[in-house]
Amino acid sequence: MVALWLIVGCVLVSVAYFLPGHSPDLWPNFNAAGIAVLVYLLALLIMFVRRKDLTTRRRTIVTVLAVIAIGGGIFAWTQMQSQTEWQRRQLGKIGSIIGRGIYTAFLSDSLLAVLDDYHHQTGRKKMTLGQIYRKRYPPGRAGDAWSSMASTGRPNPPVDMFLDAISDTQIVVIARHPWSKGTEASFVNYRGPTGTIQVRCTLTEKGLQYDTEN
Amino acid sequence: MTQKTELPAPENAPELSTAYLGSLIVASLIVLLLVFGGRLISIDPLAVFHVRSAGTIPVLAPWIGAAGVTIANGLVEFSGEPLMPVDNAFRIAGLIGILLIGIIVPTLVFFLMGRREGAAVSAPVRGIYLVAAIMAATFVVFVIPMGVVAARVTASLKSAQAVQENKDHMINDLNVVAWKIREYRIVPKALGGGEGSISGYVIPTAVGQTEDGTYSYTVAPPETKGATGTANATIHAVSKLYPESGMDVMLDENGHLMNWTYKGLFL
Repeated sequence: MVALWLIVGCVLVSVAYFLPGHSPDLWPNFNAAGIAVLVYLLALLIMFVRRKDLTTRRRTIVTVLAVIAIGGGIFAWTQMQSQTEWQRRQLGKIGSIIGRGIYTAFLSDSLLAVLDDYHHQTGRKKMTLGQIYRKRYPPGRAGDAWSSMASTGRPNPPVDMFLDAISDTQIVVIARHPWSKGTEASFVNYRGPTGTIQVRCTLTEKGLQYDTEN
Repeated sequence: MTQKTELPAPENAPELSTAYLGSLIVASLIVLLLVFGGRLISIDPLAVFHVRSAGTIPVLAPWIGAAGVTIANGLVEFSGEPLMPVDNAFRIAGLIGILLIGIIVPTLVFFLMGRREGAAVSAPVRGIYLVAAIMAATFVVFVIPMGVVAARVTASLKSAQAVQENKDHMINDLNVVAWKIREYRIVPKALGGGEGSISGYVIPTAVGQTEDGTYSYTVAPPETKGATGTANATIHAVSKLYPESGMDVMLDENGHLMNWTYKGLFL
């Protein structure tokens, strides 16, 4: 009888465990198996309560302890799932904050250097904003990734920044993160991913315009 | 007539009965299997730990395995790598943990409880019952404190993370304020700038008041020196979510932020 119960229980839970399939997450499998375990334990408790060879007092105490243990197990299980899923989301948020911070600092620092050069030109012939940019960051072609330009003094120019447009009066740089999530999952990013952080920085002779696009 | 009752000589009675020894041996074998059985499934040390731990505390909480996978996935996503399906050894380890504490231990306890004294119950069965009863008792004792501790840890983490998130957003905002001040200093007066000076600059409302904090600045005295140069201004930030918290940072003539000082919860 014990063996039969064990076999039925193990088969039931194992089938439930593998039903959700094979994915990067284990919670679907655990939760499916957990529901099967709960059903099984309910049946087991009913069987135990009906055992006439044990005293009523003993059956009552054990049943109460079992109910408390099952309730405690459900509580601890759901707490752990809730906590770890929150932690996972927080890691994504932290990555986004870091990405935005890097773009803010890097873009402003690099483009304000161009603005500084532009407004402090010496010499009789004044160069345009575009010419100043190309002088500081050659070759300055629209579509260039910033990894190809000369160093601004900061290490490792990001590979995810692009010179979108350049003219005598305006420079437009777009930075988009390869993986850190932005605000809209469906946003189509510049040259590549979807749903990641993207900012657009426009430099004119009056200053910088910084727009968070995603 | 005097009755004599002969008692066996104490030195001739066995200290441990065969049945008791049999139970002990079986119980020991089961524990050894639980501790070392992981190697039958995988040679990966982490997978072995997950299976082996099916014999110690984590089997009492098999959901810890799934929790570990979730955190690992978060780290993988953070680094931009693609997520991979869970390794088979981990999946099997998780199933073993659930089967042990959810099916096998309760079934053995509920069926074998109270059967030791009456019917002929063999030594192996007694040994198995012994291990199952100990595991069940341990689970009952520890499961509720585990849940309570998990709830308290979650609350504490959320509180700490909320403060840190506010601080991180404010640092990003300060970078924006710093660049706006530097931009003002660069741009000529004819175009609305300060032409070499930041005096008189008013931080725009959209920049000076965000949902995370309030920002202002004071012009630094000429003799103020920081770690990376001479300060041009000191920017003050006060949190809107935690008003007793904030930070001050110096801005040098190149627009770089230096000498950060933190107050309140940001310390």
